[in-house]
Amino acid sequence: MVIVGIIMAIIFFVMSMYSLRHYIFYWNRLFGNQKGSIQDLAGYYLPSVTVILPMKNEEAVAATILERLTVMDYPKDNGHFEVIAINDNSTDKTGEIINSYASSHSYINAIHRDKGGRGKGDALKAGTELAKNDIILVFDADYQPTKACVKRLVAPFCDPEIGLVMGRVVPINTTQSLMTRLLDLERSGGYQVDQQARFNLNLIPQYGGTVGGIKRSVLKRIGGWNTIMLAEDTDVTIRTYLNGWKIAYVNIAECYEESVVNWKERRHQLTRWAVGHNQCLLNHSGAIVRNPILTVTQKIDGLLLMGVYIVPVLMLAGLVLSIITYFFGSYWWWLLFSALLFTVAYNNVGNFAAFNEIGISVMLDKRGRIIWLLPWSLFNFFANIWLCTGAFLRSLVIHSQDVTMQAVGVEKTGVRWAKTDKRGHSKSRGRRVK
Amino acid sequence: MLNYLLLLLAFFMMALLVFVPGFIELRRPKDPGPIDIDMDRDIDERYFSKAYKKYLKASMHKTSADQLSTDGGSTIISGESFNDVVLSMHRGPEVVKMSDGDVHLSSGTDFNQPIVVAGEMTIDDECTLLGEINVDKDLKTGFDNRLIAAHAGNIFLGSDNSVSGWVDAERLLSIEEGCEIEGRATAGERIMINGNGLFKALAAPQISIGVDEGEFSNRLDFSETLWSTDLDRIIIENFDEKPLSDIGRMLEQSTGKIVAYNDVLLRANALGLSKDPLIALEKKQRPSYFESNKMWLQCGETFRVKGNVKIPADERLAGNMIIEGDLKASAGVYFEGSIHVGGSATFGSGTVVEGSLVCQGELLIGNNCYIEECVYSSNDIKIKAGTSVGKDSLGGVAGEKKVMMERFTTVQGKIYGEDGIEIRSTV
Repeated sequence: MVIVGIIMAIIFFVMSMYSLRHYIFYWNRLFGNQKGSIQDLAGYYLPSVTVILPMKNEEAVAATILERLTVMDYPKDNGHFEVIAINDNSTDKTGEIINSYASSHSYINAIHRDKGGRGKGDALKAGTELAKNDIILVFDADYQPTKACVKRLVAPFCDPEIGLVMGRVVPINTTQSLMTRLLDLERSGGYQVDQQARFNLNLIPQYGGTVGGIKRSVLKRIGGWNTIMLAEDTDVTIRTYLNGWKIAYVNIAECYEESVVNWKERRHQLTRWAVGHNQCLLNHSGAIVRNPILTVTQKIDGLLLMGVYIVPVLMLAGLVLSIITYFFGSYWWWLLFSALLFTVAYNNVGNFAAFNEIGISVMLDKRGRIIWLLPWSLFNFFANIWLCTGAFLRSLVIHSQDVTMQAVGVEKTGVRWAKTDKRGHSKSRGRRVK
Repeated sequence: MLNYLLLLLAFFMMALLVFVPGFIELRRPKDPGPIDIDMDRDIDERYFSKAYKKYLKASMHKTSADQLSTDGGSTIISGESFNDVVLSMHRGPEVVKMSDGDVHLSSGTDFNQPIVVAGEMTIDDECTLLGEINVDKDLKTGFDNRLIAAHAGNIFLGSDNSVSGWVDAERLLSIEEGCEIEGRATAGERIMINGNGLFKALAAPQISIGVDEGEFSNRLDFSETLWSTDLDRIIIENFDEKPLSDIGRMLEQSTGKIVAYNDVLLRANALGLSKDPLIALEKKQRPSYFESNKMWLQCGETFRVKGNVKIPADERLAGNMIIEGDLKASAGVYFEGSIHVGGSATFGSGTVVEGSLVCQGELLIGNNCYIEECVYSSNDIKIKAGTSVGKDSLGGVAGEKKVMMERFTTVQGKIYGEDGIEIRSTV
């Protein structure tokens, strides 16, 4: 019973930390000082920029993102603005679309990869090698940036302490299914509250791998894009902070994305994110704790950020242990565990951006009846318990394999493209953000 | 048993109740679309003026030509006539005072309506105009007028004018002593501020504060060290043995003038003694003022320095600097990159920064400094006379608190202070 008690205490402690973190974040967004990420000077700091677009079988969306970049409000002469569109061994018409844009716009370069590693990290690596400018922005193929997005994203780079920037992702295909509507809510909470609060509180805003950018010199220093990790974005985030730079989150640099539409695609996506985060947790935890540059709060936030996909696993473990105590322990132990477990569970549900965060984000975005769907996120949460538990076990296997391979001196191979099929979705109707 | 079943049923009903609103929204969606983002809106400080003009143009387009040219209900002011025309503006139907020619408003005139003038407009003293003014040619105002908002080709605001909204000129906006503009003051080419004043945001390719640049013209005279065989010998013989400050003193004795340590590092690099001057700085060739600080190279161009730093006059520093504490740079220091200061920062006269300057604490920039890119502070910013910020119509000064500037300063781009911009005789 003592061992069970210790395990339960750890679970309660970790989950309480997440609860506290959620409360601090939404409190900050409601009443705290909001940092503007030097957006007052957006449009007045215009360094040379390279935009990398990694694409694999993206014929449904390739033209849209390339079109958005051609109308981008940014000086495009003299190599000031460069687009590197990478066709990564596509079997559809992606290559042809890229070629047609490259032939009509001098600043768009078409790169066709048919050898080398396969994965977004490898494509980014190839693009970075060819990039002429120090600031590199990355957009996924299904993204639709606003006209001012690049100007807003580059503004924080006038601060030499900023190594990475991240903009806001907004789902566009919300009308497609219940899943897209729930993801719309989740994204809202994650960006409008979570990311902005982390930036306000000088914690660790997360680079999401798209709608963001990095200085090439910083990327070189931190060891480049990691082609092994499943979550190369979280990995870059942590390595950036470990090396002394910071990430600026720019809430106003908005970009539409096409989110996954069904549970099958969601399962793939979430498993990849969960395994990737767990990989980061296993690889970088020690470095974060020992790092002399990070503050104590940044260290705690970094660990919580990487461990976010373990929360459902802890919840499941707590439930299982409660059942065990019910059958084998005393009544009072069971009562205590159950009460505590449901208290922390109540404070944590909501698919990693707790309910209150989502609620606040919907309020800040001045949206309407979509909030009525908030309780339906509970189904996502229960699904996450199973998916994340599976992902947790898988990441333990991957990590043990990595350790073994390292011990015998075998080089690790890269990951494959883990992508979802895009349908090409344009804006329908919506509500204005003030 | 029945009691338990009823209790269970009640529990499930309550649990399901929470999903009912969501079910209604799914069946009859009223908010199904994504967050609406204006995809084509760009960053334009003159947005308010342009939007107003757009509304005005659209409204005039909708109104018939007969209505626009009618003299019915006209108001005669100093021999010029306005037609009172009802236009459907963004606030709803509104009486607008329109004139095809030039207009001269005599002192003490009060109007509540928007004014549209096709020619020039001159406003004498102590007028109160509580509608937006749109003038195709020049707008000139006298002393102590109160305006809401104004747009014209060129705008010349007389002394002690106050504007509670925006002011925008297609070309030149000239502002005299004692003016206060609570909204944005923008111009397509240049803003000239000829005296003290209070503002919120100023934006133009060139913003000049004060016109008399005689005394405070920028003095960016940084003499390069002329290397000779004797000076080279001092470096060759001592570079691996002695700290940079000792080598600097030896060179100073030979030349009779201060030699910046960065010049020594660059020369050592040219002589093949150091592969990378910045790495030499990180490892051992550290000037005396950095000796008590922990410092390291974050990447090939950026240094991080822990603690407070005090840099003596006429030094030259390579690369970007991240200083975690306070920074005090004496006169004539030359930074060959951008600077981030975690605490407060003071820059002596004649400082040059070949990049941006970002500061978490209070920031004081001395006389005749030159900052090539942007200046940003989370606290107050004070800029003394003769300083210039920005290059090629890009750059800017922005502060999360107050921006205080002396006269005879120039900024290319934008000036913004969350708590306002104050132009003073002395900061």
